[in-house]
Amino acid sequence: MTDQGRVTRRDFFRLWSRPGGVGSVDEAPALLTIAEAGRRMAARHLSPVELLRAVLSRIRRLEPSVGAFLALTDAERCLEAARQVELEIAEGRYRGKLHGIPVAVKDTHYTRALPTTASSPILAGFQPEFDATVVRKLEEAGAILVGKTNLPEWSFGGATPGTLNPWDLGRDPGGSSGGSAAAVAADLVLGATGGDTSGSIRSPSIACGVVGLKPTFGRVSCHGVIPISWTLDHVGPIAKSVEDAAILLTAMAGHDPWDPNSAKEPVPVFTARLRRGIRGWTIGTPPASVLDTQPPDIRQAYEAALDVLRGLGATVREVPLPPIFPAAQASHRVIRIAEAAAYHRPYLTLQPEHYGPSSSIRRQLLAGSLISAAAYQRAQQVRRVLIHQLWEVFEEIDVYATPGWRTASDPMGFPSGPVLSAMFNLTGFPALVLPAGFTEDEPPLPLGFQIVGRPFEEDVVLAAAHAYEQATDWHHRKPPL
Amino acid sequence: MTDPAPGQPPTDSSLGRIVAELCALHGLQLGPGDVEAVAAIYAEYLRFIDTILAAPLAPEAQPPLHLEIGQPPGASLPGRG
Repeated sequence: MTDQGRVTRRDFFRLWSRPGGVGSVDEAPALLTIAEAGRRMAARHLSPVELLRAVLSRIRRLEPSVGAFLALTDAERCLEAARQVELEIAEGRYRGKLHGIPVAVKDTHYTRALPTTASSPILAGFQPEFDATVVRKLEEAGAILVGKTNLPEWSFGGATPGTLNPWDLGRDPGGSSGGSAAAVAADLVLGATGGDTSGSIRSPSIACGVVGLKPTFGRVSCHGVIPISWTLDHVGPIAKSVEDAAILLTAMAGHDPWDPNSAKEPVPVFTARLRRGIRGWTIGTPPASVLDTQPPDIRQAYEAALDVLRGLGATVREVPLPPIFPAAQASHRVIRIAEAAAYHRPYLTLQPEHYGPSSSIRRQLLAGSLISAAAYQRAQQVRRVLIHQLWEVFEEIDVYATPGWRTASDPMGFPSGPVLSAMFNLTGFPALVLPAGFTEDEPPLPLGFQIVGRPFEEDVVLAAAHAYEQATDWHHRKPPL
Repeated sequence: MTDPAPGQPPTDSSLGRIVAELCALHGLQLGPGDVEAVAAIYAEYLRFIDTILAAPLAPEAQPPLHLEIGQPPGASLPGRG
């Protein structure tokens, strides 16, 4: 253990195995949503200490199997924070629904209390001198940071080596925010954050059967978050329910003068209009030419989800793809790797030997370093046209719904998410995925679908997702841990 | 390695040589096996760039300001910091 309050995983387990450690505790509170735990704590029916002990007990019991974390906060420090929350609530100083909620953040987020490595040997032992804005905002809302979650090296890739999917410990949880999605799915924390450049919040959220929200570009500050690509990166919540995603987003969002891309848009309380329903709404869908390419189980779950939305009073309508759509994926890939190569230039030239043993990331970055400025700008031109054309598509609809997807690691290191994921990084439109069924595998694996809205209309996306969620029970199911 | 015929795209081997030369010019070190692997990845990116170049863009189309992403067309960017 260090004097800075951080512990290795081994230290953590040794600490909690000692007499007087976590011992036998009731883990049930760890299975609550943020909303429910918040309600109980506000009513003083649940102690924040009791909640934290439940979470720590589950981490001690399940983390050796799941491998969701790269670093854990010292348990005594967490308990001290929980006791402080207890005191504040007793004194009537309840800060809101995140007060006393144990959360985790992806290990791309700068934290003063824990090292930040992005899973790269290059950053081993890096101890930031400030917290990422999103970390600071979560802590100001009263959340208790219990750990930093695993990711593939530098967030590159659709798999998260070292972390296993709680639904099937023989499988990967997806990536790159795989540690966060697995931690939430396994009830090791009540909520977490992820980063999304091509689909890295949404892909693992689908794979782990949880809710993942990529907000509008600029909605959540990226200050203090290790980037892949400055104009494609988004930070957002991973949660057990749509309401929890709304609670987390409310705390995480807001203008940040330290992030030049940060929006000054007002931040609503995203839970306020969650229950408005979708009667009379028009939901756009991709054309049959796109849907016909989907795997049967994903297509079936998607069609069933559309039926649920119809049953809630919405009209489902096929809308054409933006005419420039065929160039969208190429544009995304060129922009992503060119910006990543710019960020990585010092590491590529000074420490090339410290990239991972597969070398695929380093080689991707080398190839990206050779892309001309003219090609990069041309990709940005395509992007602008796509943004305009997507706005035209949204003139006729309230939200857009797409099938989910499954991802696998690409051996050459290209992003593995489909264009229906990356397109919304390119355009900045908010996109949420949520559970929508299970495969026929044994054990069954989660399936999901995606709801997309206009920029800064996360409240609309959340309302549609919440309506669907309330009409189904997929989110109540738990992995067989 | 062979040079491409005039006006023809580079062959794989000539692309490897181009990649090696470009990396050297840019001060990027290559290790064992890198030339072929990076050339294969670069070839993929060249295909993406071909797709982008084939996209129907008006000559006056400009790239977005980074701050414009997520804003409606023609917006005066009031919401950005």
